Amino acid sequence: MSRSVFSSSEAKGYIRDEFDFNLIKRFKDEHYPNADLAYVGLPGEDLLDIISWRSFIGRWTAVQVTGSPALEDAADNLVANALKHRLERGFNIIRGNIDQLFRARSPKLKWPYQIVNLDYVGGLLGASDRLPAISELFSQQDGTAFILLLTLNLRDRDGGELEQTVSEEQEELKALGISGVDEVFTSHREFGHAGLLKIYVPLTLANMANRHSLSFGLPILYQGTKQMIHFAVICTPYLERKAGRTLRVSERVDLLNLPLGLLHRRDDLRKMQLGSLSLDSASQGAE
Amino acid sequence: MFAHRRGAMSRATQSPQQPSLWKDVEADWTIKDIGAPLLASLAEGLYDAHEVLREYVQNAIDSYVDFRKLTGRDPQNTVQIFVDEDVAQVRIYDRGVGMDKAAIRQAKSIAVSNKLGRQNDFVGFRGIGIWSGLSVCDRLIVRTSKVGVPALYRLTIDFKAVRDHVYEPIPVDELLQGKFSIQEQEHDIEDHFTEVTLVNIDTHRYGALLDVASIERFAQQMLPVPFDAKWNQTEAVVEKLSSIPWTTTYDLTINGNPALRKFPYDQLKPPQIELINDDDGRQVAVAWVAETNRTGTKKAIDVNHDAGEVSNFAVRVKNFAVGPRGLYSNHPDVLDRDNLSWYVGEIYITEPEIKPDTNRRSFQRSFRSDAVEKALRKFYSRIATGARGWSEEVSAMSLAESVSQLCEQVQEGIRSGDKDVNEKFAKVVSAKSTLEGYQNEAAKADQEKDSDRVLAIRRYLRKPSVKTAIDKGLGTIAALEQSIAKLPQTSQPSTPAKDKPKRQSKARTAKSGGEKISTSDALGTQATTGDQSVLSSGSGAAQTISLDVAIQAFLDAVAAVVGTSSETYKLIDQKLGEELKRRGFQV
Repeated sequence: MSRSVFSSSEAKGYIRDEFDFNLIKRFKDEHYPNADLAYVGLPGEDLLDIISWRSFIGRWTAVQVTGSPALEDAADNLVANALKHRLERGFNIIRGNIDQLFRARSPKLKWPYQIVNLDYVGGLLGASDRLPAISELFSQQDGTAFILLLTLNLRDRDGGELEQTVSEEQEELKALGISGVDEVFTSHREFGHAGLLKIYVPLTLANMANRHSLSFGLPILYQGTKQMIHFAVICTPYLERKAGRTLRVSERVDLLNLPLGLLHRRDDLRKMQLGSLSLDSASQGAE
Repeated sequence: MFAHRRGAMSRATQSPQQPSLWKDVEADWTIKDIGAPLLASLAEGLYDAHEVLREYVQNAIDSYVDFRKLTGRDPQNTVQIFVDEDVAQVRIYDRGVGMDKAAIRQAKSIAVSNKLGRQNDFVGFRGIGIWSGLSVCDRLIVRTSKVGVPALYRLTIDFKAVRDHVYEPIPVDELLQGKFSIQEQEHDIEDHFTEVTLVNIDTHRYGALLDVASIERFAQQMLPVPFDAKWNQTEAVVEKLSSIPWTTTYDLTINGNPALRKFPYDQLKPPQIELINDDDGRQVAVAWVAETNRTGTKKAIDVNHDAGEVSNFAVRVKNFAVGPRGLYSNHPDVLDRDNLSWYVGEIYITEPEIKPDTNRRSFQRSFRSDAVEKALRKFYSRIATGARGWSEEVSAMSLAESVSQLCEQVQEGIRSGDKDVNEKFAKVVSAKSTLEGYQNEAAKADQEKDSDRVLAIRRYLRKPSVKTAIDKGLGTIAALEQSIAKLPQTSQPSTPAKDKPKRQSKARTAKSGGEKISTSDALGTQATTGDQSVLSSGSGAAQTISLDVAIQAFLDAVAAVVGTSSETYKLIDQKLGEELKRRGFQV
């Protein structure tokens, strides 16, 4: 990806105010046309997402990690900004680590939430709690339709796990006789860590969320203060089987065939198709 | 005289006969002369939880005064309270003028405030507001940015450390030194606000500060919050208050929910404005008064306390309530004070010398406070006794309207030989007595010595609608008596001796049933009784009032209405004698 010519806040601003905004609007119109939505997430002290989406939100829980004077200040600023922007109705702040709160099923969290915004500073695999936390999130949200927004830093110290998981997926799909696997994975790898995450995140979430159906929006790669990738997923309760959903091969193929969005400038979001997998009759029979 | 004395001293100084003179010893008065324990009362808790909150809200509201003065713009007039129970914090946030470096430095002062010289501009005037949380929380943080100043300041005071050392034998400056810090950073020049945060509140003593519902109730009743727009009298009250000073309201929210003044819906007559004057006729307060519109036997307003509704009167100084509702009404001079629950209203003190005490639980004693308290008591009496008058009106109307049904029952009882006819007839007799009592009371001339209560009762009983109803009731009874008189003696109903007439005041409150009543009241109820069983029993009459007194009172009342020289008076005097003779009385 070429170096961005616009600032981090502009890139994030576009994703927040245009892309996510419209996605949330569509989600609300479809699932909760007559109700305000509940938000939980990591809004950051400036509350830009809350301010942008305030027309959809009825109550909101901000999680802010503390433990150092700077982080304490951030929590203070977060509350002050809630007051400044008159957003305190239905607001509560939880000082802590969101992954730990999810995993511990903290009673401070008032489930369910219809917007979950995990705007992580770090990556997905480097932090040991993160994946189990997201898994717990799906089980807490059982029966609730919600939109999950996940933003990750590409400099993830994953200890090689990401590459290993992706390679395993590649081999497995090849073994199933799906055509075009190597080309697709090679195209993804050209985008480095971002490409690997673009494969890994949808498949991992789809595996975890066996009681929800997931509908992914365009993953967007952008240059912020660091290189970031943003996922937006609409999760609707899966009601067909009591035991939950199993991830079929055709679904895995669909997830891998998701294009990647590249955000260069505010008015220049490009969609890139990183190859295309197709199911032949043999692999369909394997499902 | 002073100059003369100085001259005398001057001569004395020069006099060789008076060598023992006072000489000045050099001495300074410094902060070292003030010991730390002086802050003990603040540290121990001068205020309760809600009063602490009110002090900070007061500061917030005062900041809008300076905003307007500095910018000439209309202020936003909002106060946001945010309770974070999770970490035992409360924040009070306003969008007033904010503070610059000089102001934040002064903010930490104790009883040093620019408000002290401008008491008529501000609600607060003691300059200790910021310290009111000293006993409440471990730390106070004030973040502020002044309008037009591109800087944000943060004052932090370590209240816990101050409390921990407040009883030590050290000067106050030593106590406070190092217990506070002021920091600054660049900030948006357009932004202006002050945010006070009470950190780590003592939940055992001051848990109410973290109870959103409790704060909301307090705000609704004590703070200058708006009237609930859903209340059906809001528009009328707001319109009436528009010309009264210090009635501005502030949009105050608690965790985003607005605090609003709430009153019972649909149970009140339209509000009226009443001026409250002292004995010299000088206005000391203005009140809006809304009376119950209930006309049944129960007039006290149904108040939904859970919904924040109230009845009775709040006393407000600069739009902050002082003390409980009905402040100063718990006094022997206030007649029928229970009837204040038939009203909803607020009293705005306009007398500038009246200030609330530190806790705002009553007025600070002053040369004027006695006069104002007295004026309030007179107001309460006037209002409450007016209610009593209305109660009498309703009772009279109700009784008068029930008479025709009673008379019909007696007629029917006589026709059918009903064994309960005597009991029913006793009720008629009793009703007659009571109605005549009302009639007589209304006819009495008002005297200077008459109490407010008596005057109010008469005023209501003199209403044409009441008079007509009573006349009609008595006419119906007279017709019944005439028809009974025509019956053979054995068929006539009689009243049981035990059924002495009793005055029935359906609307009277439980307490007033046992209350001492004036002679005038007694005359109104007993003296003109038409109950033959009482009049003829002798002993019964003696238990109540002598016949002579009764007759004289009756004639006095007639005289008061028509005059002793009128033909009517002479005719009544004559007919009364004849009627009494006819009934076998020696006149």
